[in-house]
Amino acid sequence: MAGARELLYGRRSAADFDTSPPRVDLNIDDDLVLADVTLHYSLYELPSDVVVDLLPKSLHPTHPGVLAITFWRVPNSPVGPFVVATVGVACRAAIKPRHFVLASFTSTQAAAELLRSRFGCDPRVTAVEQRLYNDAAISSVAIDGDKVVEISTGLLRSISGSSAGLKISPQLNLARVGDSHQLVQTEVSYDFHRTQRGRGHLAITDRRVIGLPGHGRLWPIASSVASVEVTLQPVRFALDIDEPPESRPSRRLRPALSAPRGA
Amino acid sequence: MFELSTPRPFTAERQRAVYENALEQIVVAEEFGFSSAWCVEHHFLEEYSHSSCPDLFLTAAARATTTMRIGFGIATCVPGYHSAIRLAEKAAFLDHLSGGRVEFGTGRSSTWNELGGFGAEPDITKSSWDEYVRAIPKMWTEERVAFDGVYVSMPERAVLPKPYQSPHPPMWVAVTAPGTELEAAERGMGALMLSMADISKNAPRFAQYRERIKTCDPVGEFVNEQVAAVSWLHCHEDDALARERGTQLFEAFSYVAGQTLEISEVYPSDAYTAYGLLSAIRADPNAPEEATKKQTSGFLFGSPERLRETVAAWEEAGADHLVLMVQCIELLPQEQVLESLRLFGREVIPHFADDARREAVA
Repeated sequence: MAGARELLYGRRSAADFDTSPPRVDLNIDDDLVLADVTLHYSLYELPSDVVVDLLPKSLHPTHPGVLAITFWRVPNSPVGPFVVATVGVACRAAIKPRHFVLASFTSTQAAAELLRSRFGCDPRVTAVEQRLYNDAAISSVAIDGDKVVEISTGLLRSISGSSAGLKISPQLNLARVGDSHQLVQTEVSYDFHRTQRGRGHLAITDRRVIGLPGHGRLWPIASSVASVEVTLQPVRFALDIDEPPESRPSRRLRPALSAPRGA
Repeated sequence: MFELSTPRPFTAERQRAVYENALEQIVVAEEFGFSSAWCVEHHFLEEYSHSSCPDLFLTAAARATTTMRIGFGIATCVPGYHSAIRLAEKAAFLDHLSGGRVEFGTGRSSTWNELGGFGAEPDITKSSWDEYVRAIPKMWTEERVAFDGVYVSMPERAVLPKPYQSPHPPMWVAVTAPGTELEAAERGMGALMLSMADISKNAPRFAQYRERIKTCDPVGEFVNEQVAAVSWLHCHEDDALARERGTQLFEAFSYVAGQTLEISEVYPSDAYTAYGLLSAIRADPNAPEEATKKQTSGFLFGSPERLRETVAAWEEAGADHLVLMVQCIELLPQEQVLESLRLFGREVIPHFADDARREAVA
């Protein structure tokens, strides 16, 4: 073989990450259905070089880089109503599209504990809000009374047909699995009832709060608002932080399910 | 099919070598019985495809060959990329420089890299493609034309030159998303199926295309009823070695293709309702065994004996042509690629060498 491949991977090693991420509860084996969720999903381009600096060594960047900000407003759940915001960057595990989570926020302590145990994400408990208007949606995160992130999406128009189901990549959270730290893949399915797409405007007062460096222009791609039933499924896969799945395949956390779920 | 993928780092010499090697492959392919060479149009796709000017590349290919058909496309029928007039002009010009050997492939792009880079609106690409493929044959065949469409609008002008072929080059559509083959058939166009690997999944689509095209309303002056299946080739007497090299080629392709952003991943639109190319090459995560995950039945990786069986299987499924990719990011040394082409030409193509069956395409 002549041409040695010079592949692009993220630059962060395990030592660069939080030393005490939350532990995933592998005993959770049931689905949790969240009805009537309002999803606000907003995507922005960011420079590829920025993404490479944010990703673990086991993940590939996309070109261009993509910042994904997702808000769920959950009116009813076993832990009561809550709003959760997740900030991630698009990446590839081998060739599979994923979002590596940089930061997350939620409005209640109970929701934070639920998400930690199910997915290993580590949401900061703070003011997370979502407001809907006739043709617009505004979602925000505030810390100590100061709004640090706000997405406003206007000029919403309904999308029909099969594209009404947004294609949302599974998230990868840095979490503890047994005695090791791994990238745990969230397993979420969506049943979309209504989807609208508009143009998103993102306001960030302090990028560091959401895990971004201070530089790099953000360029809007698309921003959507959807009414959806969300099903949180037990986690199934985890990836190594430093070794890509090409050389160390994703680890199956539990036996294959008898009824296959979507990728 | 030439994507002109280029390995990092993108040095001037490496870039030039990619183009020169590809041209040499075309010359050798013609010598050993391959009938056509296609070159795609892509923009901004790092590593995956540095093929932004396929018309220029194919002009060089045409001048280096004498009989091989020249697949111009997939020409992107989106206003932010080209006007329909420019596509008609370039294809006709190339048709003259090639002595009437152009096949005209059309498409609309499926990546945010490209549509976003040109500031094109994804929602309209299907509509613009539809207008373009109806307007371009008129530009080729009518002395002067005028259009008052949404995406093709012009006062009366003579679009020049007219093609060398009469009435005009055969027209094709690149088919990635399921259902596009029926849109090709509806318009009397050939289906260039970016099907990649799985023969059994493609056979029903081929059959549906054949059925639909019986009642088509052709956009051009004639019906181009042809199905071409895109796959991969690496041929070697040592079957295991060929399969090993072929797998490495495909894995490299998967890696570079995987870094692109498909429209459906980032921009919800009724014009892009399915994952495109990536879903065709992605493994099934629910498959029980690693060995069964990858869709590889249609790859032409192996010994001549194995590849004769694979070509026959594609033929049985209904493909008229195989459009084969032979290299990716210069992973294989040029001589290995050339030897694969020679061996396939010597040992496989002649077995399919009657008039109706000899179409093997590089």
